Amino acid sequence: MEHAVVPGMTREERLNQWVALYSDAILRTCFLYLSDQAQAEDALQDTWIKAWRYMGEYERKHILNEKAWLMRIAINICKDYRRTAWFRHMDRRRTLEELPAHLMQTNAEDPTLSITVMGLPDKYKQVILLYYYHGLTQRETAQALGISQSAVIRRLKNAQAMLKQSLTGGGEA
Amino acid sequence: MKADPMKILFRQTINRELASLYTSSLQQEQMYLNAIGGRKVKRKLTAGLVLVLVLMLLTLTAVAVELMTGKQVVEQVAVPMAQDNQQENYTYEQMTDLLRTLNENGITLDENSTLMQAFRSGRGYWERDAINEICLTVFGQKEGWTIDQKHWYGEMMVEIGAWNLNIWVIPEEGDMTREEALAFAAKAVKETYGEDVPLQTNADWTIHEVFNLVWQQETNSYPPKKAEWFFSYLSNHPGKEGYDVVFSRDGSIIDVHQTPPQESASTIQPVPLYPKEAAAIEQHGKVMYFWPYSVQLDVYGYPHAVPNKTDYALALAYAEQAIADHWGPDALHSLGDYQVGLVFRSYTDPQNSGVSEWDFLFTTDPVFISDGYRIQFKGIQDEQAGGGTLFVDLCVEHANLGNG
Repeated sequence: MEHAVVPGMTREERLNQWVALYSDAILRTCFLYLSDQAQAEDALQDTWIKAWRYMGEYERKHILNEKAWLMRIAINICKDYRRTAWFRHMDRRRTLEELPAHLMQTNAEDPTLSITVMGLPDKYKQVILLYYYHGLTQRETAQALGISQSAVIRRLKNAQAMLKQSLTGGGEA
Repeated sequence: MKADPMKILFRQTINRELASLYTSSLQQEQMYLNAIGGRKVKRKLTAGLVLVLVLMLLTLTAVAVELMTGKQVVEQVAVPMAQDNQQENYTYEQMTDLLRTLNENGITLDENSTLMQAFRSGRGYWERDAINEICLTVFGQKEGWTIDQKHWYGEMMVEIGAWNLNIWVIPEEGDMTREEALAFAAKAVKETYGEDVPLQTNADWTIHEVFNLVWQQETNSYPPKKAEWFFSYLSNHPGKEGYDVVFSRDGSIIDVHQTPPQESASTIQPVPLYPKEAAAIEQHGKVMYFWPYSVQLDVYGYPHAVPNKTDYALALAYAEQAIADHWGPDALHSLGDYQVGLVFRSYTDPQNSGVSEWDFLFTTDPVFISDGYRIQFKGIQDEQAGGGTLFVDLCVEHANLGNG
């Protein structure tokens, strides 16, 4: 759901509301991006610190879609984490069996979707998470990632094909 | 704007798979405070430091923080939440709040329980069963509860509307106290089996106790006034017999008998519950209503049982009639291609009456129980009706646990 700046709401109240509304979704997004729960929790905390720091920008630019704005911050933080030397030297590829059991206890029809998303290249993972998981439009996804809408459409198409191939065991894309 | 079904499916699947990744309200508050203070607590700690912090936290918790007990969580959170509900189910959001409260107070439910499986699937859960699960976690198996714990549990069931009457009573003025009743039971055993039965030594025995109202066939009064004590002495020593004693609240002995050693506490082998349960879930799905009765019995033991065909037909007809009476004659038909699941228990109560417990589930969605009806009742052998079965304690509810 989208929320414009609510008149009369203080910055503290707004941040408090965002933390309650979006923490779980951002945490799961960061986890899918980083494949590491501890890193994802740090990234979530950093997201709220940055959101607070740039609250003035949010108000000045009259940003209508707070979720897209927050996701842009979260994705950028995840990107920063991936750039660190420590992260580069860790093998982020996980199999279902390697992940903490409590994270992957699932009764879903398709228990490997999270793992498959984790295995996508970053640029495809980003669009899939924003468009499908967070429900942003193609335009909002483009704004959140700072790329053109046509690039989003291209990436989505490629990402969908890769997902389909992975999930159906190499069937036609 | 019309929601994209692919997006919904994707989001639900990811949320189900990562259901255990969430932030508690306490964590959210801490993150908010850190954010407006511009601080971040780094979490890269050495194992030694973690140990020190845990010990400090434990000490501080014991000294400074008043954690809620399981009883308080039930009384102050679970029951008021249930009372606010129109239906008999907690929604997924309510379950989230309830589980967070439990976790924040150091109470962790069994990860393999049906409740946790439902929660991880993004579903709500029946209120009575959720409270039952909490109580089993806090107090252990029901047989071992004291009469005070049983009475309190019954009060909670009445509070949420799951029971009409709390049959688990506590002694009133004029009744024997629990200690007097226990001494009376020991005396009855000695008078029957000899003075040398060492019932005074508590370490030798595990004692199960019940003080409950019983239905008065002769007067059919409601609520019943008649109550009976039941004590079961289970020997803690291998090969030793146990004893069951039943007597009325006025001290009339109803039954005293010896129980074979295999029923005694020390010789009861711990049931390898979770491996068996996990195997059953693997083979038959997570909803035990649709497991074969023999599997339910194998996993959970007595009093689960296999109903005979005649009783089943009678009970099924009774359940279908209850649905029609409650939701209209077309209610079942309008479900479409539904399946019928049943959890069945059968036992002999302290008055030696045969009791059967029927818990039917009618649903088209045996995986997530997103629709349908749940019908529960008891069958009691009715001597006045020539040994026929009298169905009582009917409880009907929607089986939809919320779509999360």
